[in-house]
Amino acid sequence: MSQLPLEGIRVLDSTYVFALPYAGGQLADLGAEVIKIEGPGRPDVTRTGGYAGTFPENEWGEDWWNRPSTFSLINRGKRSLTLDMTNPKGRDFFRQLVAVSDVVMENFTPRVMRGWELDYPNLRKIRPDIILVSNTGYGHGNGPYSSYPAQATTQEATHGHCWVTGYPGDAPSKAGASFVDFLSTWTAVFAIGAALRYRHQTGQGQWVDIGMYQTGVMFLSEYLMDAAVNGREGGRIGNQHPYRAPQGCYPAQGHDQWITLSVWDDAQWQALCRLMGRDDLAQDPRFATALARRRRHNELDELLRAWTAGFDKYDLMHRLQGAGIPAGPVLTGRDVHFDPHYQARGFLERVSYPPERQMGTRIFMGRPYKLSETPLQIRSPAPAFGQDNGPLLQDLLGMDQASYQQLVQDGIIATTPTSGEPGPITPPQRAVETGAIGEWDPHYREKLDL
Amino acid sequence: MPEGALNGIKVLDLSEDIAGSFCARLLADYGAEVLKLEPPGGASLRRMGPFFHDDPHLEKSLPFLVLNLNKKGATINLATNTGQAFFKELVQRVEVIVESYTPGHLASLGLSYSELQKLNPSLVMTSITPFGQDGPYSQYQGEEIVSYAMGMIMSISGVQGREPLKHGGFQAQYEGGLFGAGATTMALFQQQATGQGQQVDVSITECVASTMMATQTMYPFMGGTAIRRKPAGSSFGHPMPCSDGWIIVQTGGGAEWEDIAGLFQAQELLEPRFADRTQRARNGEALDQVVVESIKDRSKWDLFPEAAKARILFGVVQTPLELTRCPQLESRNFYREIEHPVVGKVRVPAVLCNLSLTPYQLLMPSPTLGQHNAEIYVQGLGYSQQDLCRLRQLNVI
Repeated sequence: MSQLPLEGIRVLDSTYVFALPYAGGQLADLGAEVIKIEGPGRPDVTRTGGYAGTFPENEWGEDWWNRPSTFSLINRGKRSLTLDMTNPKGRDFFRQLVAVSDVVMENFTPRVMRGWELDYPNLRKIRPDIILVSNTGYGHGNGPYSSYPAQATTQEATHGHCWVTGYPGDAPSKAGASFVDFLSTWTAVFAIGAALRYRHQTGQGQWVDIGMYQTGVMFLSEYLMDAAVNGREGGRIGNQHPYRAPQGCYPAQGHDQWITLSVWDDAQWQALCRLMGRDDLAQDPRFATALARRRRHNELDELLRAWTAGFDKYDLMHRLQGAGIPAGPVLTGRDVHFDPHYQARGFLERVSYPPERQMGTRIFMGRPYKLSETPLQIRSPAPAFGQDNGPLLQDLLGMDQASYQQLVQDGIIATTPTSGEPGPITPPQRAVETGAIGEWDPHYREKLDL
Repeated sequence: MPEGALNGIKVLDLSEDIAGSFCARLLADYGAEVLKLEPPGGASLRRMGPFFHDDPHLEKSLPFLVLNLNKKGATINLATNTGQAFFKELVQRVEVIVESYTPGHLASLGLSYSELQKLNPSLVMTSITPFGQDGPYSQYQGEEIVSYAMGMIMSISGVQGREPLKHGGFQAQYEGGLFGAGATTMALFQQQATGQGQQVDVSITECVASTMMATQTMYPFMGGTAIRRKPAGSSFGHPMPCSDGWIIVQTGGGAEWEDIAGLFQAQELLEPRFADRTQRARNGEALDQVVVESIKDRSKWDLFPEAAKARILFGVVQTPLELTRCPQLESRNFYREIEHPVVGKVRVPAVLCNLSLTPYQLLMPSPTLGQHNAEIYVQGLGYSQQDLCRLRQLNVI
């Protein structure tokens, strides 16, 4: 097999939560050596509390901080070093690591790295061709919001996403989870690829300054243009298409099962009427033109709901697609594990943990692209807290055993976090009753062969 | 003038949609030389609204105008042998192709990746499609709403008891473009280091799916399936109405619950029934009442900086018009002005991120249809001006 794209590239990943940590996971898939750095008293929030996701078999286990699902997905393929960055000694080791690294990623608020003299001008003194990637809520600089605290949830409102998302006539709505984080993830991957290439060509590194807010705004470009030149405010049209009709999300057979479909043109409308066995509708002048269908969207929604409710969502997708109509079922987090297309593409990967981790085998999303000549895969499970402290400090930085032990004693490195609580666990049946989760399948391990 | 990070990279952009156009634009924004190749009738994106001053003209599609900045443009009819021959000449002069045709379409024209790679072994071809190049649904018709549905995100968007909800706009397409651009720069770094070319096969549905960390992992970790939120109860983490719009507030970050109670000037929030996360969840509807009552006469623009001072995670729902006047975006020099030959001066959303040494540069407006035909075919490939006229009449360009 060919060499992986980032083989030989070392990344210091001093980042928390979702956006850049996930970029680090992507870089690890691409072959980079990614070193995740956490403070002994500042474990990543995806190890603790409400951001952790779930635990294997819904049990904390002994080392609960190494077992949450969200941490495990995001930080796959990395090495782990704990280093107290609030301690000058810790920062000194960080500087030593910078000297032997290619890329540094951080997501502290702007003042922190400056205060530690670890901002770009200072990192450059240590390693002139270093590539530094900073991700903040609103971006560095002197803007009015640059120092505002931010997370994806509140930014979904600020960057315009909520205004254009929601049921028609209803309140602005959030959608999904932490959407803008992932736009920063991929902005970072894009910028790092470009910056590495430029460095290879010229020998020069640089600073990549990402503001999540800005990446989110970019995704509404046509709304911004419409506002700027036509004075239009956009708004919420639910699941409808701005000009094609009908389009929507309709009920299918079973509890909380749904199908989406979109009719582009007259031919597809005719095909849909044939499929529904409704020649009368095909002839009906009230729905004969695309403009009429758009105007009578609510009536069409009624007709479609009544029809789709009798079908299995997959069966209906195949029928509609067979007639040339774009359609697809709403897939849940469970469904994708059994979907033949996801299976054929290999999007979900099985990752086996070493026995001492007591995590068994789990299934994680890989990446949304495939490379034809250098196939990628998750290369190893997410690391246990501080699992590579020894190799990184002793082998890579050449520290002697006595100094290493001193660091452990001083709490500058650790393998157990000194702060943080495990995320809450709710018995699954109760979680279903309260509506916290949709359903619970006690036989998931057999079904997934875990 | 500073160089771009992708300086020296030449790209052919065959895409007619948002995803491929956005991907190629990002490459152009950071220094690549991108040529958009459209069918003689124009890319289908030119027919997508909204339009400049609501005039549905081929040169006035706002999505086309904004997603093809910094590119040159020529026309080519790939359904003709002559067009295919030109394309094969052009392919030998570039590093990257970006395309978004249905898988198999280019192969049916003799222009599959493996054919093109014979002409240019280090070629990177980025293909961005709804379902990817292979698998049982690869020939299925994609649409924005279908990508959200099959990418899991609709299963958790909206509220219980109502239908799942798509994101507004065409953000799945943008995801395909951005994520595809990320994979492309990685393939380019490898191409430069090793001479290795490859096809980058991006699935828009998988782009959407790859954002669903907690949703996907729940099942293989403990057998659960995530779901949409309940229709009533605490709207913390969801927009709530105030005097002039909507705000959103979240616990966590650097703020304590007392700070949040202070922001809302509501002593009731300090009562035991709201004391911790469990209590607040149990008394969610009462909590919302207190908060909504306290902000009904207050402006989001007053609350926003006040919340920031108290280190509270807080946002205001901004409209597109507000975003066009945002002082933060101004400070980041996010918008740039361009003079387009047909629509004139317009301000465009421009800068994805700042690269200190190789900054974003706005060099060119989107091309008009066939604007650079002479430059590409006459100066570039060495045909005569007379040939150009013949090719036009033959509907090749």
